[in-house]
Amino acid sequence: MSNRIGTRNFIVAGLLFLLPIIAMIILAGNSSYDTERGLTRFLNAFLTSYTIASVFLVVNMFRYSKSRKEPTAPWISMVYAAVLGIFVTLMLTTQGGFLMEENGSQRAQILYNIIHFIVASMAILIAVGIMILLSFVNLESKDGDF
Amino acid sequence: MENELKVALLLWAPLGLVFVSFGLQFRKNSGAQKFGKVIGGVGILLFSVSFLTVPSSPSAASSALFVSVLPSTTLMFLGLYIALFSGDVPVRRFSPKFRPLGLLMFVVGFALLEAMHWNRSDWLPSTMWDGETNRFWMIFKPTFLLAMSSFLLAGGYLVNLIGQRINQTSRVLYLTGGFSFLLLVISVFVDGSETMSEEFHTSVLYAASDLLGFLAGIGLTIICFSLAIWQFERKRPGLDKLPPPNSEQLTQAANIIKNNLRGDDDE
Repeated sequence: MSNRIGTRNFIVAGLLFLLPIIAMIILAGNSSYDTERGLTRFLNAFLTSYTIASVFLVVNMFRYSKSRKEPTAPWISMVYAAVLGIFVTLMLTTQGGFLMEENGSQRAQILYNIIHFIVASMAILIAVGIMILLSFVNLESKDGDF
Repeated sequence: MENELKVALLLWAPLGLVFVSFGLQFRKNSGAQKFGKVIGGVGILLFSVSFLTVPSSPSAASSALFVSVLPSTTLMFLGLYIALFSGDVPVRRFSPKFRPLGLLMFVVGFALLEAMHWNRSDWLPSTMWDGETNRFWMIFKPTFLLAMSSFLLAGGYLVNLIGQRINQTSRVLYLTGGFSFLLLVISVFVDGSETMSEEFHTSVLYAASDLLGFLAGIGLTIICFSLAIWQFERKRPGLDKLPPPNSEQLTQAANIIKNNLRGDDDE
């Protein structure tokens, strides 16, 4: 690591990250994209990933509590996650009722959200996995290092 | 009711097993880890065949998608794995002769995934489900291409800043990210074998909503748990203010080091 990555670099990286999305929006023209449905998809993805990631991290907090001898850590983090989750959910759902897409009932929507999350996560994880492996595959050898 | 029970047992329970298996991999006990791998394998297997066992469930389309993208994904990852461990690395596992083969497998895997969008052939895995385009394919494909473009372009820039031995890496990340962005642009202008370009473009925009929602949700979770951990960690004295370790702590440290000194045979 020879250089320090500053805030400006992260902003440029963020803009590069958003570049394909921005280009797709500019190219949309007379696309049949429904903004309200897009917002619902964003919120459903947000709430589902928040819920699943929170469950995963709460489980890991039990290990943290054991290794750092902090028995209350999982319970306090659970309270934080639940309070924040309830607050965000209430804030989002009071805007337009339950976040329904093309599903007949709330239960169907919740199950669909889980499958949707798994499919989207699979696509994202494959892309991230390819990025990581491609990075290591192309490491240049330092002369005389290996 | 009977059908719902069947779906619960043959689709949702296997998915639950995969989640439990994932959680068990974080246990220190190797027995629990092995048990987790077994139930994870059973879960993935049962989920993979759920499009045959419970085809009536709308969620079974995701199982059909999983099976249809499995060959291309396996080819891509196996190819990169072979290319990585046949390269100029200290932990080489394959002969350098296999490196071009690995890279070829990656390219073929990626081409196979693209071919599924552009061609309708009996030789290619199907993107159809129940007589129409699989709804989950219209989530997977745009999300994958968009995530590839975004992560690789941003990754190429960040990797270049780190500095040493990565100029080539940065170029390859930019090139692959740019190529996948080009494919994305072509897909929104040219009709595929089963999907109209406009329909695909709309799916890409919804995929952008998914991607940003996904990242925002994960980001908020990390902030929330970082705050909880910070609350405990800030109460601890600084490293320079800690008293010297007592004999019990030294014995504990020695045991931890001893337990972690043995590596795999090839390490």
